[in-house]
Amino acid sequence: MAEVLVLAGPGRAARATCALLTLARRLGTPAVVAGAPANGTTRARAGTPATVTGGGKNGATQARTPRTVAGGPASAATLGRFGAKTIYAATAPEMDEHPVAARVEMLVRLARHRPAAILVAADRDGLEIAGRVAVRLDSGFLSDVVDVTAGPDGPVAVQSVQGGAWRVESSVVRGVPVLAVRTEHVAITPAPAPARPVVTTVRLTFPRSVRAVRQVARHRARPRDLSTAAVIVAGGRGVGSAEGFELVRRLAAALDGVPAGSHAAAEQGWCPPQMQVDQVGQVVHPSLYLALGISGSLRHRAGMRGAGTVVAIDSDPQAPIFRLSDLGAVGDVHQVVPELLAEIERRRALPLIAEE
Amino acid sequence: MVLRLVLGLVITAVALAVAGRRAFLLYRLARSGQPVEPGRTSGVGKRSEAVATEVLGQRKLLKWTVPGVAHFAVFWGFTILLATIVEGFGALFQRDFHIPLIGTQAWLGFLEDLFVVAVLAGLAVFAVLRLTQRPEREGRRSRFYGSHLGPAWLVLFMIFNVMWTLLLYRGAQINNGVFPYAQGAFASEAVARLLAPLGATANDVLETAGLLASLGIVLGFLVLVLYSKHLHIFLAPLNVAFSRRPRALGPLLPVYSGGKEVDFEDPGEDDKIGRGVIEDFTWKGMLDFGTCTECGRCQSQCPAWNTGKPLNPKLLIMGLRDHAMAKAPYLLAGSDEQRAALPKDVLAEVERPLVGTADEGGVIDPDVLWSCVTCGACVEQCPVDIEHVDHIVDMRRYQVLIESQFPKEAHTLLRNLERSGDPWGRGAQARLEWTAGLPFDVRVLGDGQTLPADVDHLLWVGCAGALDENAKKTTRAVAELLHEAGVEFMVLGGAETCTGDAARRLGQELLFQELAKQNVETLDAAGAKRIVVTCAHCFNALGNEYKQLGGDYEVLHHTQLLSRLVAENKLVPVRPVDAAVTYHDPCYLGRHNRVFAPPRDLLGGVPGVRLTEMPRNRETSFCCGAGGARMWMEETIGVRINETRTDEAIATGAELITAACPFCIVMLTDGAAVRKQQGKAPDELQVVDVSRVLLRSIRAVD
Repeated sequence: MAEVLVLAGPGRAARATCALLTLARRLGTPAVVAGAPANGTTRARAGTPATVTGGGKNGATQARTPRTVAGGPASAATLGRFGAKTIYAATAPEMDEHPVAARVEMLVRLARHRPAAILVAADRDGLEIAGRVAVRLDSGFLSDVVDVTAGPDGPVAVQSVQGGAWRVESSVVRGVPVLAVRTEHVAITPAPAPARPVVTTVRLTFPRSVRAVRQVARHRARPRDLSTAAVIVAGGRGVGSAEGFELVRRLAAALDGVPAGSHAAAEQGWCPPQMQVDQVGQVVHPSLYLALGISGSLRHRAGMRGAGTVVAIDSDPQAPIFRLSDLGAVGDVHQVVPELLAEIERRRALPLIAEE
Repeated sequence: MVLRLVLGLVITAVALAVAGRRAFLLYRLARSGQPVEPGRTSGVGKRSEAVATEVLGQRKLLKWTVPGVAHFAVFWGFTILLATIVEGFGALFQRDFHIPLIGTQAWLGFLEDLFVVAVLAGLAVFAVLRLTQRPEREGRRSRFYGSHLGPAWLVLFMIFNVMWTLLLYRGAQINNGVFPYAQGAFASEAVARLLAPLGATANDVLETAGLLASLGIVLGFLVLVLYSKHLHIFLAPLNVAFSRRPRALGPLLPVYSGGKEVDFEDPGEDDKIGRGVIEDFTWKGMLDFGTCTECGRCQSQCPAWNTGKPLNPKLLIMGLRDHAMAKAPYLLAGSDEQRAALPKDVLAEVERPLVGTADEGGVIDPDVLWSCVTCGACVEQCPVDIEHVDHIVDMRRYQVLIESQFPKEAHTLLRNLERSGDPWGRGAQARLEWTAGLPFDVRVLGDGQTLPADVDHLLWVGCAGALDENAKKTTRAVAELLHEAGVEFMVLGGAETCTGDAARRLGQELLFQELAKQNVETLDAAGAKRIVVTCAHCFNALGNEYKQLGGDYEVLHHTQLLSRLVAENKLVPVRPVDAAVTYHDPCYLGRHNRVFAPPRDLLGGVPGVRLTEMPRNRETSFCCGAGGARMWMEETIGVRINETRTDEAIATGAELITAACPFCIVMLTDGAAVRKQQGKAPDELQVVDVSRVLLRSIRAVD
């Protein structure tokens, strides 16, 4: 079986990498392309290049120890559990200094061995890397991929297009298929049999073009994009006040999701207008949508119709939101959500995908 | 005598030359616009009637009593005092000139003096109004905010000068024995008594000096008028005569280019779509701009302006006029060489986009253009019949169809309309959900069938009526009431699509045409003659706009049909609905289509209902904020229109706010929810359609 190259993204990417590996196993032999050498016996390096991925300031590394895969880079053992047979690692300083260009070089170099596909997480860096690699290889490129299966003539990707309104199946007909995957839509599963990945160090000499002109630290973390978020926790009139809206933010943080508001919440200033989900605000397509104190007016539903699983909490049992929710709780947001948070906290103590 | 004749004629010749040159330029500028659409000159009877009532009768000005009466006096003063100008010029040639036949009769002398006094009184009123409502004090609330204040005061001052010089020379004429009227001219006689002690020589001098001064000032005023906003004294009668009749409200006009309707299925290569530059406006548009007298009656009623948004209909029209004037040398230049040789400021003006932000040097800011709810309050108020809404929609058409520049959130609306045929994207299969649980079967017209003979009305449910939670209750109430009254009706179910009202008002004429054609086909195939609707926007589109596409139906609003059924005793409201009620006039039912009485009759017929009107009602109703496709855009500037209107409703002490349009109900329900949350409205406050109040009175529901 041909190799399938999976780019281990920098930053908070362990979950994304595992998701890519989940897909890659269907296409061939997964091989992780890592920027830094991963070590199978010690903890993964908790460092991320800060200039591009955000987090720390002035090149300082992000001091965050991963406990579950939702956190930082994954260790070789974790990658192995998700089916990685090979880890290509490069140690050149360029990998940290110019994460995008260096990874493009690395992928182009590894693509000489004709992998079955190259899978990249569709975050900001990933999209740029994927696009550049596709141009360099003169290959076809598919974006907004949410699922992949093996077809007779190579991978068949399911793309979520037009803001999630449609799903189309596409395959690449020329070159090495380069797929940018919206990993949050992928349900990650460990490999049936864990592998012990072989770490191969790739020695790369980077051309002159891979040079940092200057590094600028980003000061403010960009708010996460609602339109592509996989988990959204939205608050409405039933949240009651700006203080009450904190519950929405806390629950979103606990679920690693993005907080949002109905037009009622936005109009009363409980959340900024950019967070408004409805007809005139953001139209979202998360896998999981939690509606807190939202009655589910037509205009709100127009904004979240594309949600996968809808969970609603509202005090009015007649609220239309319950007619389109998969799970509903009738009750005051201020009672139900704290209990939910406590339960999440309790289960957090039992990580689903432990590091070791 | 010779000297005063020569002087008088020289002044006249100079003034007429200057005025004539200016008038010719204005004429050419107006003609540089596109030809008008057909129908601007048809219906002479109606047009004459409009001129008679609005110009001679000052109908729209008199809506505001004090300024209206003052303007009435000045307008008729100018008209009557034309006689004194004839007399003045006559006196240049013959010192004791009088108008033939009637020129010595006491009534004419009296009338002239009466209006001299009336004009002076009018001027005093205007001065007081301008002082008390000056923008320095009142800010945005002042009706003169942004108007040209200096020229306005100058105009008042000039009129004042005309009046006192007139009295001066007429008084002197009496003392010199050359006055045409032996009696009647009471004011002139009073001045004469004042001047008499000065002696014969002084009176001779004052007569000549006063006469020359008076004529000079009149002529100077003529020039001033042509160079200022006071142009309306010549243009207003023309503008009223050529305005849309009965009013520039109700249906929007199709897109015209070069005076011909644009065929969107096969548009011409050079067709102008909407208004992208100032010369895309028709000469009627130019006439509108030139006629605006900056009075500010439009802005006083504008929901956008009154809630802190940048749109002010007066400033919009003034902006377009000032831009047209500044660009005039370019528009009127005969050749490219002439254009290239124009001064820099003119060329800079040419570069300005018609719609653009301040940074882009735009004439009209996009925030201004997209703030309009097309409620028509400005058009309703305008004393000179300017067609603000048409101009705004025409500019939107260019922005949407040519530039693709419009508020991004409206994309969702357009996408849903294109794909699903309704604004929320629910699709045709959801359109019969509202019928579930009704105690009788709603008859649905099958595919390819025509309406059976026993069916009285086709009930056009509309997107909101079929999909919105509150509006579904209204549809159910109307269906139950029709059923109760024994009216046979059918619905189209999934065969309906949106009427396209919002798309059209957004400027997306192409999509409107597609939706409308589809609906006209469906309705014609069904053999629909009488249609009843529950939505004011459907009402306007089906009843007025589909005629433009060949769909001719008798369209009734549900309040019209229900009030008729109550009048015929087919529905008898018996159970008291004990509640303080107020009624909100939907713009597209009321102001645009003049349906004011039926909803009030319905409420009035329900025992126990105590109806209190809001201060702004009927023609002056204040929009809920949803019109003009604003329902589908964010409202981020100023305070919210719906909350402002809800406050007005709450202030009547109402427990039930009623309306007769699903979008008004959405907006007012939102407003009421916010106020309840803030503790500014009682918890029992409800917003419901008029039909649901009637249903409560027919039998126990809700």
